[in-house]
Amino acid sequence: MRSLGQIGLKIINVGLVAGMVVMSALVLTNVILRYGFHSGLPFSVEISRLIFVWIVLVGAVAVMAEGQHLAVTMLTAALPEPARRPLALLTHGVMLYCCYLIAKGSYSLVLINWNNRSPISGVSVGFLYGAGLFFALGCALVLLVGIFNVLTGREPVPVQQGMEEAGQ
Amino acid sequence: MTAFAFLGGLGASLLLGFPIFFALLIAALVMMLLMGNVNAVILAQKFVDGADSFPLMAIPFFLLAGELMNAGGLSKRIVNLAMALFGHLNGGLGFVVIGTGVLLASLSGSAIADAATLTVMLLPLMRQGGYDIERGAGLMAATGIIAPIIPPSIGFIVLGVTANLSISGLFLSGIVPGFLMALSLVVVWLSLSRRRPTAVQPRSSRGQIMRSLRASVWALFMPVIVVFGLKLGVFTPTEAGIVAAAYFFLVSIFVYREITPEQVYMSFLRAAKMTSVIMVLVAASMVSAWLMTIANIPGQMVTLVQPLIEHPRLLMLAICVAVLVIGTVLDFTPAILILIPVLLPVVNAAGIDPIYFGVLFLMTAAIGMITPPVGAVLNVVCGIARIPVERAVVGVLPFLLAEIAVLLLLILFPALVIVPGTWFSH
Repeated sequence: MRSLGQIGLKIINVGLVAGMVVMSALVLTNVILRYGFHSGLPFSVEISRLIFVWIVLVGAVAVMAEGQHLAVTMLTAALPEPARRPLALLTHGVMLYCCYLIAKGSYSLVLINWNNRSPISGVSVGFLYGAGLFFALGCALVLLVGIFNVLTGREPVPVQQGMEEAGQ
Repeated sequence: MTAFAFLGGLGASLLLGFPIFFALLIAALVMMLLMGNVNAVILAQKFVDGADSFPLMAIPFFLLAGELMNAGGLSKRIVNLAMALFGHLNGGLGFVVIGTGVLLASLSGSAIADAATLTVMLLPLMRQGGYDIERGAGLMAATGIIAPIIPPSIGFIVLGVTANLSISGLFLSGIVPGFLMALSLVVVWLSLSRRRPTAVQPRSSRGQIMRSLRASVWALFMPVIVVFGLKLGVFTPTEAGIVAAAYFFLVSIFVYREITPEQVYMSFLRAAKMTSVIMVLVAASMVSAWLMTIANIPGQMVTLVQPLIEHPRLLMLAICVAVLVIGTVLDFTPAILILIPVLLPVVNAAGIDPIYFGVLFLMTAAIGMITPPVGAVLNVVCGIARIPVERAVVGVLPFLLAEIAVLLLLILFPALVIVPGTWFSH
């Protein structure tokens, strides 16, 4: 099961890099065409924004799995391991409920917007909210694995770390 | 009432150790509960739409540029240049730190990354040269936080979008305050090293200086392109970001030829993940920002601080003190996202220039990152230097005070920010 998770994360990583490359290429091509040749790719802005949203929300799942989202650890880091356990269950449960709401809302938005097309590129707006659905389901999966680990006591409860170079 | 529910929910969930973006979502849910309407569709819509922004796409591009700059060997050459210029002075390595820091700041927008680069490259040399390591580490932390003030700056991008201000305007107004911070560090370091002579590096010949200048000239082009591109309105900040990334990519591959395909892959991946960390916060804060507007919290805030509105300087001082305190606990992206929507209406009501306010806000939040007990930049420097944080706290103190003095100066004389801002933007 652990190796399955690692394969999943690897696929996500490759997808993130591919997304970054395509998004960069689209925006760069547009800049070059505009200033060099007074033309441009009309669909560039719409598509690159769509990819951007997917990078953010897919990446957020990967970062969640790595426990690297920014958090305030002043209090939790000071708690002893046994006290961290029930607290972790509580916070995981609340986060799971948030994921449920975002998943439910995103699913409705995908359905509502499925036949609603972007003005220039003609891509369905449903794809935009699909990223929200992916995010919510992915995070829920990460949280369920976390709850399982806490209940079986297989791993010490980690303290949320926070990525060190988060662009600060 | 709703304001307190929001702040209470947020504070409690932050303390319980939730990731900050979840804490923002939970605070929004608390407000929804209070207003009697928990709506999953609105929650999801505001959240996803919050990430859907062309200006914010500047974040991954500038982060990518910074990653490529480090992997490609540009940072190393900038250190060599500063070393050739200042290495022979008494306390010279300190000036090398400040010089390198200012150059790095004009290439990347990340205080933690810059402080880490400085510490990795220069602290070992300070150790060899018999410098006071606490002072050295303190100087590196204090220099690192200039990065978000001198453009490009991730903080200004987030701030510009949150407050609906011109990102180019913020970038260009940050230049002079950033240099003032550097100047204050030079003054303090000068007086400190008078008291304690240190080993000096041999003076570089003119030929050596020219050689290191030639090696780093590719890096020095970049700030010129970005500043003039923005000033003349040739680029939007997002376009400046992609141009910077493409430029560093080409220089790394065709000029320096040190970067490996593996490093290129990792640069893209790290930029993507750091973008997620920042942007998911932005997305979550859009939910609460929308609810705050519905509940008219900005209006309530204006009423609350009514007496201070007659005294803009006093108001700025009060805001800066509050931001400094909050900034010691909270990283500055969440600090911007949480505080700006609340403070901006107050600032506007008091007739304070919003760009000036933005610059001072970010400067204060940045200073918070080297202020004990939780200063994030200070922690990173200590981690790399392998010294306990308590010792670095002593070391950073004179530099911290110098930067606070600059901040006070800017509060007393707002023209120091506003007037140079207009030189650059017209």
